[in-house]
Amino acid sequence: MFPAIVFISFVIAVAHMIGMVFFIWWIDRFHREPLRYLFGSFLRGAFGAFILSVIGFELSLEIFGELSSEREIAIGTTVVAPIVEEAMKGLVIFFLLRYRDFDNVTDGLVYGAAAGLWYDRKFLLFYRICQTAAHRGMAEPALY
Amino acid sequence: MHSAATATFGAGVSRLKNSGWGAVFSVICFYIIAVILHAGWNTLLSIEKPETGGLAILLLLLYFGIIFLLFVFGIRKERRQREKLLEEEFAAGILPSNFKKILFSYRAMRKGNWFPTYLNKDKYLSLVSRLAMRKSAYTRATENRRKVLDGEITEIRQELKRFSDLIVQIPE
Repeated sequence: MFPAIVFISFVIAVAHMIGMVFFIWWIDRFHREPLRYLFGSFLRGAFGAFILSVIGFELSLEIFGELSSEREIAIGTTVVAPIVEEAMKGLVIFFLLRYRDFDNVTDGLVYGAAAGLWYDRKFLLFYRICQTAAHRGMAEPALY
Repeated sequence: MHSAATATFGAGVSRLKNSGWGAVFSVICFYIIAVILHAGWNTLLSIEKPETGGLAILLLLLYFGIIFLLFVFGIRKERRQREKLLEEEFAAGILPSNFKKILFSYRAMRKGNWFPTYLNKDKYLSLVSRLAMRKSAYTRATENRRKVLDGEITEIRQELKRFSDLIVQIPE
């Protein structure tokens, strides 16, 4: 039953993300960005920026040391994570700058929103999985 | 929230299409704003007290407010840019003068029967937008890039002119 719940949660999360990409595409008024570019931005945010963020966070642990106390974990969550994650998601947008159609503030907003979508949804997805695991008396997945 | 923070940063990064220190400064400023938004959200969530729930919702509303303002600002700027860049196209007859008000208004552009049904309206609108974008890129391009853009602008103008000729030939 647990794998089925994980699968259904995953399908719902992905469907929601795809819907959101279409919504972001739709709100652009004068010149809508090509959908393939928007999905490209979303996928780069989902995989590229996500992996780079994990590496960046691990590197910061190497520099500042392991987060052992409650206070250190709080600093990691509230200071280190935003600095690393925003920089990595920003890399995705820098990469998209080479598109000729990317030429104004609205385009930056649209591509940025698509790049950050996975981060929003992944927390909801993992939260749902962990809640189900906890409800069934299972250990919480390490990903959370 | 992540989307809102990254969209804010994206708005700053878009300024890099203009060269100069102003663009670099804008990227740094928008990055700091995005980090502050993100850190604020993470702080409220990590406290795990009932009273911070309401604050988190307020913060989320603030994020949406910021995004909305940036978006409105972006759209208005895009519209002004279109008006300025397409003015000479109307004067040269590449765009029909009776389309002037329509092509500067998103709603008017999408709605109504202002465009002949036997022509591809979406393609026409896309060409108009591309022309405005390429002309905007031209103003800040280097010498070599300008040659490429020049060719593209001429090509788009020719296509639009073909559309205009067909529109003029509509039987009464």
